Amino acid sequence: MIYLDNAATTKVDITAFENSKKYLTEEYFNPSAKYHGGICALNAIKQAKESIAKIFGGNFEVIFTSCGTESDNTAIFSYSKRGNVVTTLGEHSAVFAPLDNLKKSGYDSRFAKINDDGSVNVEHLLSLIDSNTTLVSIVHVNNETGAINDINYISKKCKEKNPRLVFHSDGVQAFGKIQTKLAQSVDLYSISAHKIGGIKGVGALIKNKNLKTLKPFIVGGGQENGLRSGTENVFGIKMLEFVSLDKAVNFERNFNHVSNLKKEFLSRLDKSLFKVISSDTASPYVISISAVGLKGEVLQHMLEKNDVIVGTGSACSSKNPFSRVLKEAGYDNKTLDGVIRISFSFDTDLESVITAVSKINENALNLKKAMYNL
Amino acid sequence: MNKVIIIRWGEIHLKGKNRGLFEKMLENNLKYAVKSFDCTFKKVSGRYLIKDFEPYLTDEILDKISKVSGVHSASVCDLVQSDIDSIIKKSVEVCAEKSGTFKVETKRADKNFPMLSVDISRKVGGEILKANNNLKVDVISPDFILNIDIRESGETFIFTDTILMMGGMPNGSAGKGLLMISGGIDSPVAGYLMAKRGMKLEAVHFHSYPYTSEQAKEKVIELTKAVGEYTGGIKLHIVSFTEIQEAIHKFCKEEYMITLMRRFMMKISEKIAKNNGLQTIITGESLGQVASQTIESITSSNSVATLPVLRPLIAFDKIDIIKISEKIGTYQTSILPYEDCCTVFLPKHPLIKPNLKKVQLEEERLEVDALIECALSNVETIEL
Repeated sequence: MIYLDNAATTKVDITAFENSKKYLTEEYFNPSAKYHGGICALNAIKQAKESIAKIFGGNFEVIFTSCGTESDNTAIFSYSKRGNVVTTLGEHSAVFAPLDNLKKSGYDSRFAKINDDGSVNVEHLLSLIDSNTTLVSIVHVNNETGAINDINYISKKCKEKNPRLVFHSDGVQAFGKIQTKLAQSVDLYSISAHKIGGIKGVGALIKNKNLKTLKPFIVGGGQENGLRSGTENVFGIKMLEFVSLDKAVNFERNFNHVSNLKKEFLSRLDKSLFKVISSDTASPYVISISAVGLKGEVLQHMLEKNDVIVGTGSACSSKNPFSRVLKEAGYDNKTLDGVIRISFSFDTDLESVITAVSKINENALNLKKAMYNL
Repeated sequence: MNKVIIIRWGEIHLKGKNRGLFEKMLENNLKYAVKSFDCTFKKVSGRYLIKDFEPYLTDEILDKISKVSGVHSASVCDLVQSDIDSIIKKSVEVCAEKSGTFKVETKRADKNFPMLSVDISRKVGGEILKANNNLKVDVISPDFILNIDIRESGETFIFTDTILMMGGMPNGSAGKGLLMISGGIDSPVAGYLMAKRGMKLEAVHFHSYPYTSEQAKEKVIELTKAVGEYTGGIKLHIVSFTEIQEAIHKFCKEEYMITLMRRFMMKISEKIAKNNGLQTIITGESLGQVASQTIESITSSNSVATLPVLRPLIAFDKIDIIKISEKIGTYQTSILPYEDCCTVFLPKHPLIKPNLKKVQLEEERLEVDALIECALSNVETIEL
């Protein structure tokens, strides 16, 4: 099987798993416990916090959570009590849905337009910010197109308009894959473990140490300095630490390898069948393409039968047929209907990509023949 | 502390000499329904009793019984020894939290009991009134009736509520049918109604992977399972319809797609029914609901069947079908947005009133028998 849906989730990193499993079987103590084992577990978490924080540059600390969505929700619900929150129409549902729900219940959530590659229209974004804006939340890498928003630049611009606002970014598809050294103008940043070889159920909210006003989303035993209660998943946290360090150390090598995969994939893709939605400057880990006039989901099923797993941008669904983000990016229904998403991992090899792209071309052609009786 | 569930049957009463057969069937179905519970099952005159279970299981047992066709109603009773002091004590206890109007009705199967029914009712009613100031007697139209049932066994059942159950006839008493099930709202309801009338069911589903999704198939499995709860389990035959759809798309006029599909489905269903000893085909069709359910469309698909085709929803409005669907717990699954028929091959303007002769001519473009044989050679059957 050739797995090209790594933006959905990744296979667990075996080395990190082997190095972490003692926290399940031997050093399984509760990090809040006062005896030696508990203290060791807490120290293991502290170590993980330090290692991960360093990846983002100087002045950041790490709050472990259960997932990227929880990290995003923590940021949003902490700063949406008054004023207004500005975000984009290109956000993942973890940011879009809570702000959309708040808007429906009367809160002033503002959504900036996006460009056709899925990146935010910065000019429009800045025009939505005013002196009452409490939070700006912008996805770092769009999960459907891979479009990169330059959050270091955008956060500075936002704070020039309103220095009091808090700047958050959802970095779930960026962390470990593209450069994530954060500027001091970024206050909060969400990451998730399972997108880079960690396990599902572990995420983190990276917090600028200067930010003093964050409120907890989950309240209880006061873990994570009171900012996220609940007994810590020491095993999952250690795995996140190990995979994060590995991705940081091997950043250049991985980035060049995956960039090459993207280049080879696109050069072999049959352009008479597919329109490429992702831009050249997008994260190489995610490629969005559309078999215009065909059905993306059907193509996905056909590829699965041929042992190639890809993501889809739409579903054979009468209720919600198209990708919200790509629709906002301005694509017509025929394009939206044909979208599939290819996403690579660090360990995806070139040979698999070459095989996959030829199967993608072949199956799209077969589908076209079947649909249009060619 | 003892609780007893009384189960009463419905239409079986109308049966004549073969009534025993129906009673036995219902008894077996009930025993099967409660087999996973630690309880005793007993048949007494004109009803069944479930006894000796932990009180916390009451709701779970009632839920199981509510899915056994042929059961008219059930009551959860308190069980006491047949002496007047115990009866009064429990009756007062049962009514302690109640308010409004009531009356007491006593049945005395045990004719050795030293008081007459009417005297028992009067005595117990008086004691209840003394104990609870919020109650008044109303023998004409009370808010509730306290029932006292003095049995020959020396036990007395006391209860206030009668819960209406599924009704219908015991499952298995009315033959076996094949339900054509899609992922929609109607077909599970059609299956339920036939199960209610006592028909044992198997189901057939047509899927068109890769044109439809695995989720759509999983959805149908869920729906079939739900129907199977009313038939003591069910077998689902899943037929791949992809090649037939592709062939129709390739060789026939676009507007004939659905009409021809329905005929293929009917032919394949009939073969599966006959191969499995089933006597009829059941569909969820409702007259005029969609293009394929006009009388002309039904005529077109019906004409290929030799077995009787039952359409229990034919005269139902959608809103009434939805009500039953909600009642039997299939509605929420049915409305999941995974389509059972991909829009890839659906015509923009399907035939609303197909002409049978023209349909037959259009069908002649296809190798019908070979396509059907191929579909039948790849049937996946699951026991649910």
